[in-house]
Amino acid sequence: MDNYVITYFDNEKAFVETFNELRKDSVHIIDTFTPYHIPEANIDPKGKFPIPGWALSGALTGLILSLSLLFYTSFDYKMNTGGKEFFSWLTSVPVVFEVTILLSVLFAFTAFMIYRLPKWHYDYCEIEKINEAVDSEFVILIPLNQDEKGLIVEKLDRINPGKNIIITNSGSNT
Amino acid sequence: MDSNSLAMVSRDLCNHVTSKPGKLYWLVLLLSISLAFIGICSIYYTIDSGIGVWGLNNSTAWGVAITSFVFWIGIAHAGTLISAILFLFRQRWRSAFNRAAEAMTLIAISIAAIFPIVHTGRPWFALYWLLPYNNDMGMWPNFKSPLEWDFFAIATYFVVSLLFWYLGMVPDLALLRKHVKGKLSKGFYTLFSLGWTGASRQWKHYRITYLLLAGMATPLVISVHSIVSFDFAVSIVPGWHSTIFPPYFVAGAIFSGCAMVVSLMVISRRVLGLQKYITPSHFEKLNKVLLTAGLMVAYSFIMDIYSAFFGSNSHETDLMISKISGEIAPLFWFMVFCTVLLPQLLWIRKIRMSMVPIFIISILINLGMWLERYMIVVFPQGESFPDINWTNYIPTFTEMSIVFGSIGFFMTLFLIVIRIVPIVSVFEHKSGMGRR
Repeated sequence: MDNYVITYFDNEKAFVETFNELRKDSVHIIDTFTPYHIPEANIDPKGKFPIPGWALSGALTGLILSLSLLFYTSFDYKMNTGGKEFFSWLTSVPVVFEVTILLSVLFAFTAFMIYRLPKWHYDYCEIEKINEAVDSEFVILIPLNQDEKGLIVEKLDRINPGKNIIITNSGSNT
Repeated sequence: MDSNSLAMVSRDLCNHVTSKPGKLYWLVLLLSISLAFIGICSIYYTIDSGIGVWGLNNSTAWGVAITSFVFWIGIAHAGTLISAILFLFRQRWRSAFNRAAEAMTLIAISIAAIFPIVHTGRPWFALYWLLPYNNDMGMWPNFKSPLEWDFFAIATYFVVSLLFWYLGMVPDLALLRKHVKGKLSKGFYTLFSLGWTGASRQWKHYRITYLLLAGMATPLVISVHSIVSFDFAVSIVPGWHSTIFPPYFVAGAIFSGCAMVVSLMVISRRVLGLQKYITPSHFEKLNKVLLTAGLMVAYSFIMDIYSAFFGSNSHETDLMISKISGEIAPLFWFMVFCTVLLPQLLWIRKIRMSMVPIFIISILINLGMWLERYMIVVFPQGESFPDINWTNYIPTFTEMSIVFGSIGFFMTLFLIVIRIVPIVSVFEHKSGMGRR
C-alpha cells in the first residue's frame, strides 16, 4: 500500500468546507467517500462521462435492429392480408419503440458497470474509515509524497484536528 | 446532521433486514403462502385439464384471467411513475415510497405474466409463439398483432424496471454489506453491492446512469399500458374500439398503482415501525397524485359514456345502456362509487393524512379498478354484435382461485423482498435530511 492521509468528518458542512479549502490550495485529492451524493465534492468536474454516449448507441442499435427485423420478416414470409401492403411502418412503431428503449437502457447499464463497477475487492477496502463512508462518515483521501508530507499533515491538523489518519506501508497512526 | 444521526437512520431503516422478524411477519407470510398455494393448485389443474375448466364460452373468450392481467399490469405502473417521473421532477418525498413501489412493480409484472401464459392452454409453447424466432415452416410471429406488442412492451418494462430498481439499491446494498452479520449474508451483499464505496466518481456515474434510466423509463410507463389498451382498442368489438383507451388505461393504471402503494405502505409503516421516516405528510402528497389520477379516470368514464351516446354506432349505445341499467348495473355503479365518488374524500387534507381512512379508500379503489377492468374486458364480449351471440359468462372456482392466489403470490413476494432490502431508500433519506 502507498502512503496516504485520510481526513474524516461527521457532518457534510465541515467536509465540503475542507474539500474546497484543499482544492483552493491545489492539494491533490485521490477521492472522497460520502454516504450520499454531494455535488460540491466533485473531484473531477471536467471529467467526461461516456454513459450517455453508450445509451445513444444502444438506442440507435435497437432502432436499426428492430426495424430491420420487422422489415425482413415482412418479406421473408409474406402474408397478404386483404391486399394491404406487406410492410406497414405504423404497426412497427410499438415493437421498434420498445426495443429502442430496451437496448438503450441495457447499454447504459453495461457502461455503468464497465466504467466503475463491479469490483469484488474494492479500492482501499482495508481502510476502516472508508468502509464507514457508506454509512455515516465523510472521508477525503490524499496521497502523501515525501516532499509535501509535513505540509499537508500540518494543514489537516489545523483544519480538522484529531481526525486524520496517516496510512503507510507499515500500518496506520492517528 | 452528524455521523451519529446518519448511523441511527441506517440502523432504523435496515432493522427489518438485519434483525429477526416477529411472529406477525411469519403469520402473514404463512397466510400469503397458503393463498398462493391455492392459486398454484388451480394453475396445475388448469394446465392438466385444459382451459375448458374455466367459464369461457364462444363469445366470451377473455375472462377474469385477462381482467387480472390488465389489473396487475396497472398496479405495476405506480412503481416507475413514483420513481422515475417524480425523480425527474425533483420530488424528494418520493424517497419514502420509491423502493417499495419499484419492488411492487416487479412483483406485479411477474404475476401479470402468469395469466396470459396460463390462458394459452399450453404454456410451454407461450414463449415459442412470442419470441422473434421463425418456426419450422419459416413463419414468424405476427408483429402486427397487439398481443405481440404486449410481449415486447411487458418484457422491456420488466427488464428496465429491474435494472432501475437494482441501480437504485446499490448504495444501500453496500450499507447492508457493513451491517449484516452472517458470512453468507455478507457474501450476498458484497456480491450485489458491486464494490460500492461511495467514492465521488462512483456517485457521478451513478447519478448520470440513474437520470438516464429515469428519462427512458418515463415514456416506457406511458407506452406499456397504452399498448395493453391496444389489445382492445384496435379490435372492432363495441365497447373496445375506442380512441380514448390509451390515456384511459394509463390514468387507470397510475390510479390503481398509487392506491396499492398507499395500502402497502400504511401496513409496512406500522408493522416495520417506520412512522418516523414515512410520515403523514408523505402520504398527503401521494394522495394528491392519487386524487389527480382519479379525476383523470373519472373524466375518461364520462367521455366513454358520452361517446357511446354521441357516436352513430348503435351497438355502442345499446352496450352502454345495458351496462348502466341492465343486469350488470349494480356492479357498474359500485365501481363508480369506489373509483369516482369515494376518492373525492381526498380533497380533505385531514383525510389525506389519516392512515385508517386512506387505507380503506385505497383498498376500495383497487376493488373498483378490478371491476372496471372486468367491465372493459369481459362485458363487451358477451353483449357484442348480433343478439344471438349473447351469452352469460360466469367465472368458475378454478379461475377465481387463481385470481385470489395471485394476491397471495403478491404478498408472499413482497414479504420476502422486505427481508432482503430496506423498504425505504436509506441514502436518499440521508441526502434529504443532510441537504435540507
